[in-house]
Amino acid sequence: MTTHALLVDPPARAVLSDDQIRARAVHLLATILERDPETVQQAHSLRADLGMDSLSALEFLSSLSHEFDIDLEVEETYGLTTLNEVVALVTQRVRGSL
Amino acid sequence: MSPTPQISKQRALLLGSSGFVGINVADALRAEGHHVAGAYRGRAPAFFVRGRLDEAVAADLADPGSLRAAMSGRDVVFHAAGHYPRYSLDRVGAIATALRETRNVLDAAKAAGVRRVVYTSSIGVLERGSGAAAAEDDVSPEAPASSVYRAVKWHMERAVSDARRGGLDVVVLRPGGCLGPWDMHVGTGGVVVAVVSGAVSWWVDGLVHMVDVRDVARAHVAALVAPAQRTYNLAGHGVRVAALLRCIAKRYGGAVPERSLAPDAALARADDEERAAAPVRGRVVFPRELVDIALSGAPVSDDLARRELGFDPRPLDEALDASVAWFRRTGHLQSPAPHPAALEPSQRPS
Repeated sequence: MTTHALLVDPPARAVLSDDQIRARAVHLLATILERDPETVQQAHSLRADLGMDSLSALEFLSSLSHEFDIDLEVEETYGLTTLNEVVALVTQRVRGSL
Repeated sequence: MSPTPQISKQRALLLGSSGFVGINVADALRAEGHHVAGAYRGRAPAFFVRGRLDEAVAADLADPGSLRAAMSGRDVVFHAAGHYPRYSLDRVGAIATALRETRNVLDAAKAAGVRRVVYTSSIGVLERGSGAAAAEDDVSPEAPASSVYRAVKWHMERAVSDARRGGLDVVVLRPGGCLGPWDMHVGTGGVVVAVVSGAVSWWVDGLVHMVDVRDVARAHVAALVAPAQRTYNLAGHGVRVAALLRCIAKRYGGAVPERSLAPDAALARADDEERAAAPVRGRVVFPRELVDIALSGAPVSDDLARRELGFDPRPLDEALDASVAWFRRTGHLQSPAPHPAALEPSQRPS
């Protein structure tokens, strides 16, 4: 049985650069969408460019929340439209939770 | 709703913990001090249930081994993850998936030795009752022929009946259409959003039942101490679609076309829209299952739940208010402009 485990512990999060956070986010997204990370661009729209529906977007946000052990509020996630915006929110939250 | 009778703190596994009903059941169980493990199927538990569960465990309804492992050591399993076909386009496939998953859950519960399963069904299994209102036994001997959604729910209850005969204690709860907080995927509340947003271009009349999801959740907690093998309708408030839509428009704004479609035209329209939406996994305003529910709608009695579970649904207005508040919180609906009297003098329009 898999239990809810912290994947990136606080000391590791403390030294993550913005680029590393972005790279992890792109990797997670590419895994969910089953596509090559090289084809995912920061400015891509989650819906129009990446073809995500609301369920896959929730899965992406959940994976980020789990990976970085951060809390995301429902209100702040509904306005997110691009990968850039998602990465900015996650980066801000990772920095704020340290 | 009256307080739940005293029961020792239960170790519960909640299937569907990131769903609309499931989140509210988790909150209600934890409010009573029970230990709630939420099952998740994807790569991670949904972000919005972080902190709302005591534990998160990976389990997939399609994987019997994962279910047995997740249920090991639990007193009770809440199954609020019954199959809900997104479109009513594939009757055979939807029923097959629903039966396979339901049997996996019930078989695993028996193998794991849990004391009880509380299964969340739907009043969609009911047919017009012999009395003034459909009671718990008013279920058709055959699966509803014209509705995929209702047939799926009917078949899942049939699987529950088989498991009961095999000795598993299953309490079945049948809510009406749920409204309220944590409607993450915009379920029944989609009607509210559509009316207020002016997106309703057609509708069909009939009787539907609406209930606040928090009252449904509390009934799940009360089901812990219900007599064995009981089934309860949790219909809530019966209301005509016409009255419901106009009530929403009057209370929160929006518009509703004056006339409803005839039943045949509504069925055809719903099917056409679902066929167009399915390839892109799009949403439709008035899904086929809602047309089916409205057209088959008849009064439903939830007197048994009121007597034995203390089920006492709050007024429909309160449920609608909660739904609108939720969708304003998530941005599906715009917050209304504050009344000028509520503004500071400098902020008031000149």
